[in-house]
Amino acid sequence: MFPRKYILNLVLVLTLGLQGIASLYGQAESLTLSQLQTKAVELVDSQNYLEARPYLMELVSRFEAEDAETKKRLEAVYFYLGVGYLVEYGSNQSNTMLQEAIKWFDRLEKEFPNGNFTVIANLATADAYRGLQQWTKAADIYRKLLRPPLEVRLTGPQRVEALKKLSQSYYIAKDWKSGEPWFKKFLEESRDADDQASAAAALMEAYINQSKFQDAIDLFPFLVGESPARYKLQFNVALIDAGDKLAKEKNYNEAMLMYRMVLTVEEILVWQENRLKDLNNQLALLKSTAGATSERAVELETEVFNTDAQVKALKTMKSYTPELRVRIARNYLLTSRDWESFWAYLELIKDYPDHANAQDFFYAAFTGATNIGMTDEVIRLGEAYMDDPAWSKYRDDIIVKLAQFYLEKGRAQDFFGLGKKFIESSPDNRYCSQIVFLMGSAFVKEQDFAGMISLFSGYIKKYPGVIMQDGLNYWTGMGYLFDQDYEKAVGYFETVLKKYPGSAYAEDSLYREGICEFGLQEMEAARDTFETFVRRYSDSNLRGEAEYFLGDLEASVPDVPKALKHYANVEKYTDNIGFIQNSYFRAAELLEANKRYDEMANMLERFVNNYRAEGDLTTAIYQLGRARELQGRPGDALNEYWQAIERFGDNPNANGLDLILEEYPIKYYTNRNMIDANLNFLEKIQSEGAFRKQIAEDRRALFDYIAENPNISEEVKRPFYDRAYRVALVEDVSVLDDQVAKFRTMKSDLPDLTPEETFKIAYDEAVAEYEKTLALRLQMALEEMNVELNAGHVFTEEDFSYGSPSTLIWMGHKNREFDPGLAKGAYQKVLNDHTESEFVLDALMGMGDVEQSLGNYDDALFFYRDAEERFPAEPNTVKAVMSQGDVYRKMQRAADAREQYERVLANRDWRGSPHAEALFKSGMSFYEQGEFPMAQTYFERTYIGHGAFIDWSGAAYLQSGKTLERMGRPDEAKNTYDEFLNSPQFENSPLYQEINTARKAL
Amino acid sequence: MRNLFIVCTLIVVSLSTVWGQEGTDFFKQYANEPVPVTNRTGGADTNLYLVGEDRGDLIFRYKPRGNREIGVPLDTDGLLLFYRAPKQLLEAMQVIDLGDFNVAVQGMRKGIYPLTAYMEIPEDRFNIHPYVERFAYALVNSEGNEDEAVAFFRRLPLTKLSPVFSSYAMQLVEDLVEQKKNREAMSLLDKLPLKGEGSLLPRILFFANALRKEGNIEEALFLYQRIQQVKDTPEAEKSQLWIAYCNVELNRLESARLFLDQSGDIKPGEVGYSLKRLIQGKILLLEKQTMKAMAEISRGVVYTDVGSDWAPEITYTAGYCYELLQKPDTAREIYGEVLLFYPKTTWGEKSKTQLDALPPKADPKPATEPS
Repeated sequence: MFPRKYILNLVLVLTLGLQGIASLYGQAESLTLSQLQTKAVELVDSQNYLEARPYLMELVSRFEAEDAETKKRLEAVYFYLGVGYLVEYGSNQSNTMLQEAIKWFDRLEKEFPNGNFTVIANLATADAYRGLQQWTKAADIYRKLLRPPLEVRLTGPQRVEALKKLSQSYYIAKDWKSGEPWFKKFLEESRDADDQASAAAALMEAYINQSKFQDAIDLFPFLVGESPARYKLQFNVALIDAGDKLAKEKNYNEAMLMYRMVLTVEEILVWQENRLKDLNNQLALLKSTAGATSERAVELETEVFNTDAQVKALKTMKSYTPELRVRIARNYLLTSRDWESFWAYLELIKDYPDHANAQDFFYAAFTGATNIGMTDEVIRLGEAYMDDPAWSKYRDDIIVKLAQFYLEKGRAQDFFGLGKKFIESSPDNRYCSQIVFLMGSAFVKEQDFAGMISLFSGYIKKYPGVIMQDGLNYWTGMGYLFDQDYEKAVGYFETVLKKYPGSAYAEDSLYREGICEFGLQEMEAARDTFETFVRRYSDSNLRGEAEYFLGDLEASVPDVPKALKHYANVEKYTDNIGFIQNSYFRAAELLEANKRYDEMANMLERFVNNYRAEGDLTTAIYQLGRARELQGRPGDALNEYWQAIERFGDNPNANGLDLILEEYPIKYYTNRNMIDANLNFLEKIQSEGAFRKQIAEDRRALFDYIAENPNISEEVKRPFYDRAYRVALVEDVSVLDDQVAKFRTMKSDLPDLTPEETFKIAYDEAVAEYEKTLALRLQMALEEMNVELNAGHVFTEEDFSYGSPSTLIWMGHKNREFDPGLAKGAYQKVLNDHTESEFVLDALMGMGDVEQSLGNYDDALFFYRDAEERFPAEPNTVKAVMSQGDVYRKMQRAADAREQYERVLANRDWRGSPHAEALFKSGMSFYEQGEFPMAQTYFERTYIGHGAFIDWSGAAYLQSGKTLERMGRPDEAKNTYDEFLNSPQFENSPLYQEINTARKAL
Repeated sequence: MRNLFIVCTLIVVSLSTVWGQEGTDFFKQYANEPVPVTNRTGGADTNLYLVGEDRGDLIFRYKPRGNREIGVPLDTDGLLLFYRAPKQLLEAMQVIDLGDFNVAVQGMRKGIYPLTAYMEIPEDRFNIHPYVERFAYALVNSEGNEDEAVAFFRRLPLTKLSPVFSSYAMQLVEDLVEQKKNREAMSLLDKLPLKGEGSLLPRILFFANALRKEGNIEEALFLYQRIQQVKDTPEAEKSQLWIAYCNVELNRLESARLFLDQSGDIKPGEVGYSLKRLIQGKILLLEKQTMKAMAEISRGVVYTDVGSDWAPEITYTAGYCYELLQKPDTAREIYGEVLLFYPKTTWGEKSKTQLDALPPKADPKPATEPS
């Protein structure tokens, strides 16, 4: 195949037959030299080299006998004799012909080393060697041609041809070292894209063979086109080999590049088949135009022949596609190309389900999907893997991850099912610990503490000694801890600590044990535990929290320095802003309790400065204001508040601001009254000698004055309880100078304007500046101060969009009587947009109240129940329970109503007014059912047991009287009414008139 | 419709520019040259000179410059004309074999241009086709005659001639593309017959691709739409996707989706699979759906041959997606790959820009083998 192409390229195809050639020898001998020369030239000119051979041979014989000058003519004769043999090879493919040709060309080279035919004869010799597949000898000749002195005699096309063929010779001989410089040269000098690709491919193979991978990689740009060079099997196999070597050296990125270049046998085959088709088309076209014997047609024919042979060979080749795809998938994985890796493995699973490594493909795709967060795929692949009982290699790992993703997708039932099945089928498996962890976390998330305790405590008993015991104990303890059953919880944590001190749960268990002890009020034990925790796990991320509890424990002793030290440590060891904030606030409280107001103020000031971005800034400012007040700087306190109002007032999410707005007027008037009272008292003493004398002598006069002026400060009045002090003042009042000066300063530091004036000015400015949130807040605050603005205004959705949680609740309440729908809108906005706000409970209650007023009892119950469930520990939650009772009463479900009231009565935290209310309402529910004796019992319990709560006890007297009347017991009714009417505490009761009328009627 | 208008305008402009100003109108110059023929219709053997065609009749003269004319209807039964090629023409034709095409063209013009008016007469009735074919061959292989060649092929009734003429015309188109004369190439392409020319479609597709790569999206789209009309060919199938691609580039996402849908279910491993993924990924990126785009692009990358036309873009886009997904180190590797494989492409340049803008590389983590 190969030589045919090149021989045909050298000389045009001759169709002269060989018959009759022998007879020509005889004829040649008989010709004269002149005739002989003429005949030979004629035949050579007409390219009849075979026919010319006898004449040329005869010429050789005759010239050899001549003088040197005549012998020079032999050069051409030798050449054409050589050509003749090449042509004959073209016909019979006999290597003997090539050897004969070489003989004549060698003779020419030897006798005429710098002759006219030297270049072309060398090219021909090289071709002959190529025909004999003697690549090294061919290469030697091309190399000689490409060096001086012959190099300068080469034409441009001859040079390209020599370079190309030299490269091919080295390539075929796989002589990479010798070939490298020539491949490079060919690449540099060739202009044809296919030639460049061919040179680059050869050079790349040379580099790969010599492990010069980076040099090889640099050649990629030459090979990304559609050149034939890429579609050689040998080249692609070399690329795979290079990729393997690079991967072995952990150069995965480079290996990846090599693999990406590789074409599969199938791809090469398709390409070669298309090329064959294309070449045949070209050939047909050319034959129809330029004829079958044109040089291009011969070239095309040869290409068709070669390509066809390649196609046939490729069809017998074994495919390396699966192995290549595995390599590519693997290298994607190793080069962090998680997405490509996932798809590559996924396709491998589809295309090669029975591959020996199919399990690995599954696992890799599963892991890839995990890495890129394709949850659905993770679950699909995981379940598919699990479906094949024969597969076990990655089963445990997949179960754990699958469980995680079930959780992520909210498929709790699937998750728990899988987890339980796994644990119960192989409780000894090391992955059980992970499953227990996930299940524990899930139980906590679902707040199913009872379920967690039940399942895990069952496992503790059922599977003693298994590796997951530490987790089972820990999570059971956590279940009890969340249920606030500290006593039971602490035992499980102790078990973890004693039996599994090296467990990953040990650290957390120790901390939780401390919390349990804290909850059990076992302060000494808690302190020991937390101190042990801090010592043992000084770098723990729970250290900050532990420091906080230690602070609380020391504060309860109280050991103020230690407590403050622990509180100060909190921010060093945790980023949890909740704990940090609480540590500051608790430290401030402690300092306040110890009257260290300056330190308290500094502490809060530090918090404001350091945590302004994430902390509850407005609450901190509120506390700072209190500290200023305690420092005797009420002016500064109000100033701090006012600055906060100006700064955060228009931010609907600044929750603490509502408290500040509420406190500002209170603090203003409290302090103003305090300062005025003190100054009036002190100045009266200083300026009125008679008053001084009176109080010095008459202690009662002093107490009367103090009683009439309750705002006089303790620090001012206390010295006056000492008679000697009072007496001394009669003569010398200068001792009061400092105090007077202090109160005068305090007075001058107070704002000149009253809160009403200040807020009104600020309100007008806020309205003008479109600071609508602030305007709403100020309007609400002014209303609290009985300054009505925009009376009768119904707040709309637009107002709600600017409302803070507190103003939303306020707007909701105000809207109730005008438009319950809009009231609900305000409450709903709190529930939607301020889910973490402290006003959520108010919003839920507001919703319940509106629904109740609208007669939507089921909806009302929904909101009240929601309020109760979400805020079980809030004092106001009693209203939610009570309101449920009220709704049931309206629904005429008296028993259900009383059940709710009984829940109130059963809660000791709700003693007092709620109990009175619940008793009264229980009585009312009996009354409404006509069960008067029972009603009477409850009314009596109300006014006897809770007489101090005059609203409910008064109402109970009235209802009791009415009940007795209904029961036909008028005397008892009279007595009941009289008891009420004669009790001084009810003199101002709004029910007084009604009861009096009822009494008179009897 | 807008595409068509632009392309048509382009053609008019290109013709007036190339032909009207720079070239010599050889058709005009040799229009009146009489063509020596022997009329062998019905067994006759008369030497005449063909001087033109008028309302379905071929007009002959007895002498080249004489006044006496006879008309022979084109649909005459057994019409048979034999062209008596002038010696000058025959000599010039021989030069073609020597490869001196410019000399051959120069010598053949006078003889060939008058023949071009009669190329619609079937070859078996008037033997001028081989002469014109030789000239066409020489013309496309000569140097510096591109404008003349464009005009020459546009004048020929290519749909009625042997495919070899279209093949030469396509060769000319390719040369023009190589010389960045896209507008001239477009003007000629508009004349090329698409149906029944099996080997021509890939070359037209090649040209459309070249236009696209140079950013001439509207023109490329026009060509793809033409190719797509030749149903049941691989080129039409490929064009379908490129039409979708061009529509994305022109921000016509709904049209793009329509063509993508019409492209059917292309299986992994099939040629258009990764291109389709690229187009879908591009749409999703424009819609800011990065994760979904990444899924499409990465899926396509796995099946992209580095030698494919869209390999630079899909690889670059994969890098871009990784960058958007906060994986700068992976993005860096991929941009580096684009730069390595395709340094001279738009995508190579874009990769360089992206690489320069990326933050410094994180400390390398040792890669670990999967268990």
